[in-house]
Amino acid sequence: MKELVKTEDLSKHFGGVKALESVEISIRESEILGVIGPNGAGKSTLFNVITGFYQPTRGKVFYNGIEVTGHTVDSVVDKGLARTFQNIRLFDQMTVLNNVLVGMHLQIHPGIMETLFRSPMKGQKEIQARDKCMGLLKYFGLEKDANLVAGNLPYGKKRKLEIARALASDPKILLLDEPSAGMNPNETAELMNLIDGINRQGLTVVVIEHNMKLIMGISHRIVVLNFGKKIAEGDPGTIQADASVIEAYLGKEED
Amino acid sequence: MNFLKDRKTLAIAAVLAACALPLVITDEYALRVLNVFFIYSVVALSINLIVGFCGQLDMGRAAFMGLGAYWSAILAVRLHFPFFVAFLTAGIFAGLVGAILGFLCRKSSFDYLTLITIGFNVVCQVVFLNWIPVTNGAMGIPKVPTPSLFGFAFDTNLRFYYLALGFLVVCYVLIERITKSKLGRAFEAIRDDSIAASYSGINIQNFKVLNFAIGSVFTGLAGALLVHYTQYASPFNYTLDESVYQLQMAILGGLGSLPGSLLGTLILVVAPEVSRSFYEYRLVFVGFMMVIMMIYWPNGLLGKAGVGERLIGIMRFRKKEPEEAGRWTK
Repeated sequence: MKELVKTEDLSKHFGGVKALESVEISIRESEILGVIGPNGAGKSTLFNVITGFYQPTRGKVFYNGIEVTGHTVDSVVDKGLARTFQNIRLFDQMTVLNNVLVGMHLQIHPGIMETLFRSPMKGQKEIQARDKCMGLLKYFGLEKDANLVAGNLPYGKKRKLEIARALASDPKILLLDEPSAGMNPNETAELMNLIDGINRQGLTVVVIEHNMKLIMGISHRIVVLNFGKKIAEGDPGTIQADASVIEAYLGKEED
Repeated sequence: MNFLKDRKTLAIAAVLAACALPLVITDEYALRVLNVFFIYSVVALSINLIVGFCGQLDMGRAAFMGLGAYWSAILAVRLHFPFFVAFLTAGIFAGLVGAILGFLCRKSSFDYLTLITIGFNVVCQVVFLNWIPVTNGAMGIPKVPTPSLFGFAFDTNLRFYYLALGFLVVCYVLIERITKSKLGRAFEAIRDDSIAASYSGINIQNFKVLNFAIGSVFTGLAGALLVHYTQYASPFNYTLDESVYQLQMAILGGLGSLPGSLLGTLILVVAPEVSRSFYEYRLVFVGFMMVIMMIYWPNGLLGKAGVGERLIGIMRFRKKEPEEAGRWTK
């Protein structure tokens, strides 16, 4: 299977803290990759380094075989990557629809004349973009909230809106950072279906999660991090039986 | 869509009413106040574009007005350029300076940007005051020619009224278009959450520079038009006090609301003229007003959840739809 993202010897140190240490992972096309590990294991740091938000202390990141180490976030995003955040980050004062339209930033290219002299309501590209965004909102059951201010949405809808915004950029890879945080079991089940549905449409999904039911249920492959190092990798069954993973989560049995 | 149509009709009606206003108001002094109001409205709109839409707290807008004004005055008086060349290049010049300043502080966080713009304002004023061969120092540049286009001179208050009104309408429409385009959405995204904005593919630094440059074009144009109207460029018109006063026009009206900028400017331009005793205490009054506004109505008169929306909310609450009340009172 084709490798979309590959890291080589990826390390990120904050002073003396080794948040990531020589991590080598690959993200394969059309898979759901789970990333798990105890708190502080370096999962979010991994996302931040892969997407160019942090520059790695050592090592390289490749997209489709092209090195992107040192690129800025927006140019990495341009390569076909989108993410959501552990703590929801929406544009709180903008409407729900505009939030998703911002997600389409890289797809809309109005000329200067269209920006200044034609009503945005009449611009063809704007109309197409709006239609697409409304379609996305409908998919997430948010179409009735399109003109509300995003900051006023209830928590669950905010989570969905964040995913909708990420999908608006037509990414090849979607990175979800603890999407089920703060959700009840029903909402989590709904989320699992949603991620599965997105994946079935051909999108590669990487999920950081603490919810084992969710991650074991949807992941094709799982990577386990602990203290910045990759300690295990494999399908959910293998991971559940892996001694080092059990040790990382539960501690070692003393004789 | 009905709502949109209503707004459009409202805007056209407002412009027509403004066109007819000189039929009612014939007093030269009142016309003069209105002319100044139109020009300062453009300044407030440009501040709104930078501060309200992009969240870059710029406290040195008067410097850019001064740059536009001096550029236009020097071109027209010393080099005898026609009005529209001096006026348009003043906008470009201010925009370029804005782009350079924006580029230099593209990596600065918002707090530092504020300090830099304050410093830039002071530097500009010192240059206006002391670069005597060019700016004529404290004497200023007198006898700036009145605007004229295609041989038609806007040399009376009434004639200038229509020029200033036209200028305001054009600037307002352009700025509104910008705020509703992809560009405006990017600015707002940067204001609300710059990290999420960059993850939407927005190059934050470039868009901040662009925002600063576009805003500066409008400020520069307004400064240039004002100097052709007052016919005198004085270094004492572009002080930090002036910047703060202009910023307050935008804040009073409501950051992020374009009609709010007009309302805020109207209040702060007309109030000092209504009573001279108010003029002397205007900074005290405005200072108190800012404190009160920031505590109780940080969103201004017409901003989102500002005083205006709250009043509407209270009225609606009294009439019907009690369940709507929650939306307006946090």
